[in-house]
Formats: sequence, C-alpha cells, structure tokens
Amino acid sequence: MLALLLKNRLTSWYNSLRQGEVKKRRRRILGHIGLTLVPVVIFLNILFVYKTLLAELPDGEQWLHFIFSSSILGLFLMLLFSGLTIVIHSLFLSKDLTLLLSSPISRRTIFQFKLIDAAITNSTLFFAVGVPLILALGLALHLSPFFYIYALMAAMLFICIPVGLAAALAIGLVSIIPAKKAKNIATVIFSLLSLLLWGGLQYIRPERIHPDSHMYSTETIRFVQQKSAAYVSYFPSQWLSDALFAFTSSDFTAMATNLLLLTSLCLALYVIATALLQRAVRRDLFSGQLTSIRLKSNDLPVRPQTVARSGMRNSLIFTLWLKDIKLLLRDSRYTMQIFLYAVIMIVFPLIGSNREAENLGALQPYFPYLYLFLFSSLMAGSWASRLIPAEGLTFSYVLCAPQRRRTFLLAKILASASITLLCGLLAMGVMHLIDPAPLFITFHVFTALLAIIIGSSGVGIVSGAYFANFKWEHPKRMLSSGGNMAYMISIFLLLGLYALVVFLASVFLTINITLTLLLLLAALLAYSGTVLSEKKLDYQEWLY
Amino acid sequence: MLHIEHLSKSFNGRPAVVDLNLTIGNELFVFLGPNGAGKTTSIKMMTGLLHPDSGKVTIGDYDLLQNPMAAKKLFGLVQEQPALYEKLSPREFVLFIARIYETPHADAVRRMHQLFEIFEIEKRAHELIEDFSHGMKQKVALSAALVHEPRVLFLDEPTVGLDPKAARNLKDMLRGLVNRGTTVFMSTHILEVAERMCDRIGIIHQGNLIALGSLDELRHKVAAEGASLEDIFLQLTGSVDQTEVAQFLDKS
Repeated sequence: MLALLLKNRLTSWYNSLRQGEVKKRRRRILGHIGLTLVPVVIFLNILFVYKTLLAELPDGEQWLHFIFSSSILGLFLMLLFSGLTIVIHSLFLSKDLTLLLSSPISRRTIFQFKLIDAAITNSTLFFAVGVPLILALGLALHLSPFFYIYALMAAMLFICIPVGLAAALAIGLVSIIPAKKAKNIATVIFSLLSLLLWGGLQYIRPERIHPDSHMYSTETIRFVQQKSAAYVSYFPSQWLSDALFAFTSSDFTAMATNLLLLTSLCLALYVIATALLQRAVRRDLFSGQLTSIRLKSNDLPVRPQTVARSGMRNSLIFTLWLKDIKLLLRDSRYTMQIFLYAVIMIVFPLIGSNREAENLGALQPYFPYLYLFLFSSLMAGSWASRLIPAEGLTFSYVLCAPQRRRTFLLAKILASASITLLCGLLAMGVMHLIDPAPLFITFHVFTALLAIIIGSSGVGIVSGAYFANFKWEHPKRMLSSGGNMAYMISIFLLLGLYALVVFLASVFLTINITLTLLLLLAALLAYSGTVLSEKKLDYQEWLY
Repeated sequence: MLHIEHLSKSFNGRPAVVDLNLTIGNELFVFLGPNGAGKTTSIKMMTGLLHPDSGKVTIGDYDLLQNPMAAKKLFGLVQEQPALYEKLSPREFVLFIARIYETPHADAVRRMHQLFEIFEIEKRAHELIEDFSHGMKQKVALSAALVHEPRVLFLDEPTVGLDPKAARNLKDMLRGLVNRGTTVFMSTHILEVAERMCDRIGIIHQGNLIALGSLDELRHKVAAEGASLEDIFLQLTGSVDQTEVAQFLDKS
C-alpha cells in the first residue's frame, strides 16, 4: 500500500510537468531548471572558497573542516525548521488527508507515506546546498569516487533526521496550538534562521578569508571555533561532517562510528515519532479535522453599537482601508511576513557597512539608510501587489460593487503604505537609538521614505492588478507566472528612477527641492498606478 | 426589472451561453439546467462579473455595460460558494457591504440585526467568519446580499448547505421579498424548491434556453399533464436510459 501511495505521488508530480495548463506547466519546468541552477552557483562559489583556504592558509584543511561543519550545521538547522513547516502541512493540513484517512489504509502506512513525502520535499534544500558542499569538498581534496558513494549513504541518513525530529516536534506542537499557527511559527523561525545564516555567511566570503584582506580576522574565527567545539559534537551535522572527513584520513573507525550514530538516531526518531503518533491518534489530532475542531473561535470583543458615524470614519476610503488593514493584521501568515520585513529593515542597516559612503559628498549622511529605503520599497510594492489577490474569491464583491474601482485600489495603496511606513519608522527609531542623527537628517529620511513607499505602492498595485491569481493556495502563488518577476523589475526600475532624480537634483538643486520632487514623483506614480490598474480591472473576467 | 437581450458568451470557442433573451419582472424566477449548462455564466454576465461577447443586460432602467454603477446599486448577489472575508466577523462584513452600497449606517445596523435574527447568526455575529461552516457562511452571504434592500436579487444555488430551518426561512423570505416588489432570479438544482416556490421557470441546456414559462406552461409544452418538474426537466434535457442503470446494478 505504501508503494502504491508513493507511486501515486510520483505520478501526480510527473503529470504536473506533462499535463495541465501550458502556463502552469512552463512555470513548473522553469522552477525545476532554476532549482538546478542554484546548486551549480553554490558549488562554484564554495569550491572557490575551499581552494582559497587550502592554497592560502597554512592550516587550510583545519579551516576547511571548520567551515564545512559550520555550513552543515546551518543547513541542518534550516532543514529542521523547513522540515517542521513541511511536516505540519503534510501530517495535519494537506488536502488529501480526509481521503486517505477514510480509505482502508492503516494510519501507520499513511504516517509513513507522509513522512517519506515530507523527507523528499524537505531534501530539496539539501540538494540545493548540501550536495554542492559535499561535491566541492570531494573535488577540493581530490578524493576517490568511493567518497561520493559513501557520502551519498551518509547524506541519505542525514536528511531523514531533521524530518524525524520535525515530526516529533510537530506532533508535540500541534497538541498545544492549532496546526496553522504552528506552521506559521515554524516558517518565521525558518526565515529568521535563514537571515542569521546569511549574516553569518558574510564572514566566510573569499575576500574575508584571504590573509591579505583588511577584513580577515583570525581571532574571531578561532574564538568561535573554540567556543562552539563543546556543543556541536551533539549535532548530527557534526557526525556527518566527521564521517566525511574521516574518509579523507582513511579513519575507518571514525567512519563507522559516525555512520552508526546517524543510523541509530534515524531509527530512534522513527520509533519516537510513531509512538507520538499513536498518542495523537488517540487524541484525535491526526484526523484531518484538526483545524476545524480544535481551533477556538476568536471571539472579538463586543463593542457598543454605533448607530451614527461622522467625519473620516464615515468615508468609504476609510472603510476600505480599515478592512484591508484588518485582513492583514488578523491573518497570521501576513503578520508573520510583516514582522519579518520589519526585522530585515532593522537588521540590515545595522550589519551593512557604510565604508563605501566616503565619496558621496552631501548625500553621505543618508547612506546608512540605503537598506531601509530598499526594503521599504520592496515591502510596500509587495503588499500593494498582493492586497488585490489577497482578497481571493471575495474580490467578486469589489467587481460587483457600485463604486469606482480606483477607490478600492487607492485604499489598498494606503493600506500597504501605512503598514510599511510603520515598519520603516520602527527601523528608523532603532537606528536613531544606536547612532543618533541630527533632526533635519531624520526629517529628510522620513520624507524620502514616504516618497519611496507611496511610489512603490503605486507600482506594486499595477503588478497586482495585472498578475493577480485569485485562487491561490499559498501566498507565494498570489501573483500568476511572471507576476513576481514583473513586480521585481518594476520596483528596481522605480528605485533606479528615484536614484537618478536624487543624483541629478543633488548636483543642481537643494535637498529640500529634491525631496519635494520625490514626493511629487511618488504622487504621480500612485495616481498613474491606480488609473492603470483600474483600466485592467474594468475588463477583469471573473472565471472563478 | 431585468431585461436580457441576445446575451452570448463562449470560452475558447466553446459556446457557454447562446443568444439568451429574458424579461423578468416582479416575480421569483428559477433558472434550471444540468451541470455546465450555462447557469452560472449567465448570472455572472447579468451581474457584471463576466463580459458578454454580445448582448445587453438592463437592470431597472440602467444598462449594465453602459451605466454599471447605477445598475449595480440595484442588485444583490449570492454565489454558490460563499466567498467572504474570512478574517472579518459577520457584523463587520455585512456593515462593510452596506457601506459599499451607501446604505445609511443606522438602517444598515437595523436590517443587519433583523437578518441575523432570521438566519440565527446573532449569537455568533462577533466571531470570525473563518470558523463558520459552509451553511453559516451562506447565511452571512445572504445577509450581506439583502442588507442594502436590493431590487433584484441573484441567487446561485442559495440553499446548498443550509439547514432545513434556514432553507425554509429563506424560501419564506424570498416569497416575502417578491410580494414587496423585489425581483428574484435563482438558479438551483433542487427541483422541489423550484416547483413549490417559483412563478416562472427557465431551463437552459448546453447554453441554450430550451424552455420558459410557468410550471403549467412547461407541462403543456411537453404534453404531460400532472407531470412533476423532475419529469419535465429530464424530458427536456435528456436522461440516462434506465435500462443502462439496471444493467450496471445487475452486473455489480
């Protein structure tokens, strides 16, 4: 039965490439091509790092071991949290659960199928990052072909561990909080972890490792190595790393020991997860009905009824804006993303270097805010483009409503801009606390931020109107194929336009006139974005 | 109140609705047809959700294509799958819709409470819609469609998922609305509902309106006095040969 389920899964995947809408098929095939390009790029980069280490440093192989195990540790943590998201979805939220559970298939088989399915899905990350790391290691150390066979065996065991751990964690988590929330929390942890790892990876870029580089710091790396040595030996990533390096020194005992450790943990996790599942079955957690039964309804506070309204609250634009804000803030998927954007806006300006800002003349004081402008633009554009498809099938109300569509669009621009501005102000506040800037600089930055946010929202709304997919299953699919690309290109074009205006104006005009120009440009973009989007929506065919 | 002239629509060259002509006054009109016959496509064209390839829809005195804002103010729509803002409460949602239709706030609140009483959602008016069952969502969608007192009400399979009591309340309400001057255009698969409630019936098959009239007129058309709507429907749209069904049952 398990083989049948797996075969069915494979057939679904194969059909998704061969059949269905041409657009979707093309997108999937392009996605798969993209997935093969990522490991190639990583492989070339990491091979260069390894070769630099071996050629330039006296104790290069030791450094290589350290960097390899650190990378595998990072990968392990990422696999764990991405695995958690995937396992929660697979075990508790996937649509086929009701069908499977009502079929004459034992729950154990379904559980095994779901675990294997999750392990395969989760291993994409390993193939994108882990495989290039291992291949580059083999090539850099000129190892024999047997190394790759041995590495494959160890890697297979290694990728099962995060899924096993994730399954145990997922069952535990879901018994406390609803599956959807648990999945969101796991996604945020995964995203934050990715961000931190990205920050960490900045320290192993080739230019930092080279002894001639001014960024090269032996002390820091040695310090981290010493401090972490005591803890990492408990991680399966270290066992994988040690197993592979044992091969280089033909240390068969270490090879066998580490492989044994990996195998034992795999088996132990499977036993624990199965036992937990039995418990979950008894408590009706693994029933395909989890969210609807266990989710407690969010009782909203009962407010006194307001019969009469006045002023701004009575305006249609305020009603629409408030509705959009409520939709954003009440959906944990969106709030998590807003939170992530806010974190990025705060963290990036802090870790970014402003060393290159010396030649910017009058614009130099604004350079530390570059990341803030960049991410505010991306965030505002992204939310403006997604607020249209975020309505899903409810968008038919907008199409049926006896109101001009530009009113709805303007409300969405305002909602996107206000949320982004709030995050931007938060980031500005943190930056001000760390490195206080004069009041006039702060005011200038605020004005520029406002102009960027409004302009980007205006550009984003156009992508949303033209590429909206109202029947999405995952927020990533809110824009149809090409939509994300179009949105990114338009945002970067917009930033280029802003940069050009700032550059020209800074040469010929004062800063105040430059900022006024930016605000005017933003208003123009917001207006034209609304008009263009309205034109598209006026011809929107509702095929859902 | 609702006037449809030569309405046609095709998808990828396949006709979905062919030259539909209808005039519906103050009555309860039921639109019947097998799956994929063109019922939902017709309703979508009548409400501006789809653009017809040709033809004209007039609601009240307004051409839907020429004067969409004025025409849209006159109708309410309940779709087969209730698409609602799941992160709003029924109260927030219904008041939001009322605001879009520019219903005075006090009137909207009053009507909302009446509708919530009828559909028994008053006690859950402050919970998020996402926690509701299909039937409860349908009740919220009905309340939203009725809160602005539409002159024309389009209902696409409105009784799906409703409990017997709510279905009965809806039927009573629809009859009451018609008596007060509202035009009700309803598509349904439940022939019993159509048979008992409607003033006139339109049967659409493969995009073509193949029959139109009261139940008696349809009986006369198929020359079967006393025939049920089910018999008429099956005779007009064709049905599987009963011997094939019997053969299948014998084999299994």
